[in-house]
Amino acid sequence: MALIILMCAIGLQVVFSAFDVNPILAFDREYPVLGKAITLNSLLDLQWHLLVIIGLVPVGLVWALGRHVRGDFIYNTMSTRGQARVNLLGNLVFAAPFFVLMLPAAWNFMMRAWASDEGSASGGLNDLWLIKAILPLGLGLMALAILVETIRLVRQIR
Amino acid sequence: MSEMALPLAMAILTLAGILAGYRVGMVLAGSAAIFILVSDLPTAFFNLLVSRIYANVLSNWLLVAIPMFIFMGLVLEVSGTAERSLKAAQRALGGSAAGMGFSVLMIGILLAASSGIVGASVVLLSLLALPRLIEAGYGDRMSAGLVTASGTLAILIPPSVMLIILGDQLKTPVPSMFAGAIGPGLLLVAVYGGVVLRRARGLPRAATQEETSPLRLLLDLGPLLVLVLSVLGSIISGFATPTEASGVGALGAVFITLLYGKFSFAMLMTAARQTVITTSTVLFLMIGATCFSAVFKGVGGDDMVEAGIMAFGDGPFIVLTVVMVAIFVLGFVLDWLEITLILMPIFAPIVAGLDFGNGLAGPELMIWFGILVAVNLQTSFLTPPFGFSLFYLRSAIGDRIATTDIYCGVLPFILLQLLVLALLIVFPGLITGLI
Repeated sequence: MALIILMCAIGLQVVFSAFDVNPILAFDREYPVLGKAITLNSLLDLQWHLLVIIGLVPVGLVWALGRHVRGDFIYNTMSTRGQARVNLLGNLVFAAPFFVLMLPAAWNFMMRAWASDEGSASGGLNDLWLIKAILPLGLGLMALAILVETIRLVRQIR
Repeated sequence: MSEMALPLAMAILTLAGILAGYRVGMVLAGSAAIFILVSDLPTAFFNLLVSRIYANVLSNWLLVAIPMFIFMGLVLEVSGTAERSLKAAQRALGGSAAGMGFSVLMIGILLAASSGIVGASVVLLSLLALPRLIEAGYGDRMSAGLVTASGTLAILIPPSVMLIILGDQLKTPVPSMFAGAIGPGLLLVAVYGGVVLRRARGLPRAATQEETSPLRLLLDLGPLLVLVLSVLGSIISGFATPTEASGVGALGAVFITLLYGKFSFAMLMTAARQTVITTSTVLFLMIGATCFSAVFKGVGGDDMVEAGIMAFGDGPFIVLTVVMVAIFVLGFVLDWLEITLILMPIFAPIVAGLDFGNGLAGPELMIWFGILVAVNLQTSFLTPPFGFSLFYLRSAIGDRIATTDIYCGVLPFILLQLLVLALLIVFPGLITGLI
């Protein structure tokens, strides 16, 4: 398990360094020789595609690491058991309905792009369904992380 | 009154979830889902939400600048480059007591402009400058106040992630937001400088003065200054977009670590990992907030808020005051990011429709409003008991200064910030002059 998490982290960081190099390439558009080609918009597209990937794929992992923002001034004064109750209740009240509605909607959103073979509106990267697939993928992983957490919390509280 | 029941219930449920300490992003997303189910909004509303998330958050090229600026700041911090420059500035200015105080301010500005991470700024300042401020005779309270207030400038002085997100929410150009924040930032620094001068009068000079050669100083401070000025300059002059400048700035930060021989892959990985975590958190919070504000409007929440504000009176300055007080009060318990993402979509259209009689309209009005919000949110970092800067200070110095002394120390700075806020409301030229 730890290995998989580590692998994800390394994978993300590789993606990230690729992302880091990106703006240099975007700088190329200062030069008219390279500009005006398809590359410009592809690169711009690539940048937000990478943002989506580094932002969305690890949301579940970040959830498991407990790094999402909390208003923690009352939470910090609670006992471990109290905190577990808050998390369990939150998972049931807030997370469950969200995923029930969100996952099918995100999936359909991707499928529509797949069915219509949607491409960039500005001559950038094509096959938009690929990047749109990141949304159900990232949220799906997050739902998985929350499911695992819920099972652990139920055990902990019992 | 019945049409108020749904939005009111939604606001209460959300606030309860946040206060209980459940993850804020999921509280927002979840209450959106719940209220789609209980209201008469169709469940297909969620398809609309997905499109909106995709259009406003995911395919938003401007937001690419956020991880880049975070990465830039983290690289400088993790590699110890920021610390090296701070020590240089301290050596250069640290001779007299007043100089010592000014050096803290200068370092605060420099850190603000290079990293923009409040936590990093406050911790670095507390570790490096706080003991020497106390040594110079400033006293515990004053030293703690000065360090936290200077460190908190990071969130206001561009390039700041807060200004990018505010600009995005208010639909104002980010370069103008950056330019608009410079005046208020410098005004705050000047006011703090006045405090330092008053306090430092009559304090003895430091006994020991370290020798510094100008060359050494140039070597330690130069690269950081060049980086900061070129990133900021290129954005404000319109030469580069914030996204381009942020990417080049991040590369420049890596380059500086190479120059100083501080570069290592372990360092890069630590910074990258931290950046990914922060970015992911921000992005999910944005997704949650997008769902929340769309559904909140769908059940009539914006009408409720507007009616609530108008209950105090419909003069433009009354509305502005109510909005500012609301943000200030929420700042005691919520983070700037949550306040921005939840409240701006509701407040912005209300403020956009007002005429303040000061000649501001359209984008200029929104920039003015945005900077007022930014200065206001900055104060929330300092307000006890939950101000983030206070947490950072305490985590850095342990029990060396009593909590009550820290609270007393920041109080004058909070009052000064509110004074500056009032000045900015009365004299909008302080903000719009530089746009």
